[in-house]
Amino acid sequence: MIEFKNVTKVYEDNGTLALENVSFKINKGEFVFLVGPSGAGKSTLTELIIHEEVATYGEVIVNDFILSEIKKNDIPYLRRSIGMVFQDFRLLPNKTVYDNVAFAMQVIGASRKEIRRRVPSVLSMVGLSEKAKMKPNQLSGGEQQRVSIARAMVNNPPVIIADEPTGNLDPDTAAEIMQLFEEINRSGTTILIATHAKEFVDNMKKRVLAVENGSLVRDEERGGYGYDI
Amino acid sequence: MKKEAVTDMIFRNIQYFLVQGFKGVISNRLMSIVSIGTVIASLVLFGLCTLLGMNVNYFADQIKDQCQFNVYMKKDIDRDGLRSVASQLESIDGVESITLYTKEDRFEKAKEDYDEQAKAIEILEENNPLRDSYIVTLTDLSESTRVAQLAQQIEGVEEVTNRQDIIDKILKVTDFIHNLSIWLLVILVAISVFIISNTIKLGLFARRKEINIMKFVGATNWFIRWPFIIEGAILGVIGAALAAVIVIFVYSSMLGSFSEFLGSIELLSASYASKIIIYSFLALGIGIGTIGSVLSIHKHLHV
Repeated sequence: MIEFKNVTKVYEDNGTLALENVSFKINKGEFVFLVGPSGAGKSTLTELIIHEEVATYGEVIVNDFILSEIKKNDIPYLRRSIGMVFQDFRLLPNKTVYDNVAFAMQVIGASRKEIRRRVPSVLSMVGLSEKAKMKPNQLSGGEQQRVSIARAMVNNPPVIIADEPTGNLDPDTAAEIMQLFEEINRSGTTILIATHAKEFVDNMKKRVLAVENGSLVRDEERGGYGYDI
Repeated sequence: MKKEAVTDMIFRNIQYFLVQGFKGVISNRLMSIVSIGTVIASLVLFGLCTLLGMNVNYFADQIKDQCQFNVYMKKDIDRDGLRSVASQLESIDGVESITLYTKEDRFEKAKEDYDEQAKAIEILEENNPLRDSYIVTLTDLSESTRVAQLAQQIEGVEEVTNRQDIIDKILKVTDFIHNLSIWLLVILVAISVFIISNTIKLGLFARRKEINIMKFVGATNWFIRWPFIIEGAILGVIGAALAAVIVIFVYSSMLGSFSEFLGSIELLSASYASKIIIYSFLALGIGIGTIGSVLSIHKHLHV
């Protein structure tokens, strides 16, 4: 599903060593937390997975795409196989909740029929059926993140990657979002969450990958956060 | 994917690109107006220059078609002399016919032409200052220079007015206008492309968040690019259409007033000019708009 083989990333513009000799494998259906201090390399790791950045050395394999060999025209298809969720939600303010989610289907060429069938069902899964016609600015932070999750899962990707998905949310709302990720994971979707949310990592007892100074320092089944906040 | 599903998707995508293209034009209102204005100004100037050039060319063609020139006799030539010149002129290869135009005929014509000064002209009748001439009609205009040279050598001939001089001058003017049009086109098109490219750049900037989302949900590069290319083409086409309306209107209005002034000389008809303007402007408009947006996308859209 996601495999890093001795991956090193050096940013050419400033020579920063962001990741050094990182290897791990995430199998289908796993739920994994990616933890580590700010600037440790978590974002670089997720950017390598979606081919926003390219590994300097080593091999990244995602959903059978070997990223060192991937053709430019295949990058969109790689990204269709990954749902992305961000801390700042990245919703389009001028579109309704429904349209924000439908947009993700529209841009990959889905038919109107498919969109009409799939979007309401996904909105129902994230508990936003009643708010389909609202604009993002009429929603709470938690609801906006639910829209973002609905958009990430609408095209049925086998993997969802979330970068600090609860970073902007209060603890109760954050708990609801984490619960939602667990539900999605139960349906077989692989989940990778980069987070600083110690409480959830400690309580949920999932696999934890810890990155420090660009190196993978811990890969623990049913692990904890491991850092003081 | 089934063939119908692919066709359906292509049709849906085209519809999406067009809608997004128009949305881009409307949401980026101010710059769109500036872009359209620049295309209009460029194409109007270019169009008027082109029509001027085409008309001068057409005018030269009309003169060429006349295929005639005047051979003026020496003032003291007598009837025998005239007959001798006539037979020598007729024997020149390339001469189709000759017509005598006597100084008396020319004097009468002058009196008619200058009706108001008829009395003053009559005083000159006794000592007619005009000369007899032959109007030589050629079989082919390309023979003009050779025939004129031979005619000039005939005893009794004083001057040959070869219209080739005029034609050459007109052709020089046509060349000048032609070159001017080309340079104008190059400069004005470059300006229009630059302005449209900047308009698209602003559109790209305004929609960077949308583009970013499109990228990470897996839109193909061309799916992201097409709406901007179409936005540029729309700006070009709107500008071109308005410019065509202006040029055709100005030309039709000018045609009315100029045709009286130019007498027997015909100008290109409004319908012919309209056809040329509409087709060339639309092609130029689409070209300018597309090139402008492609340049901007190439420089600023890294998908």
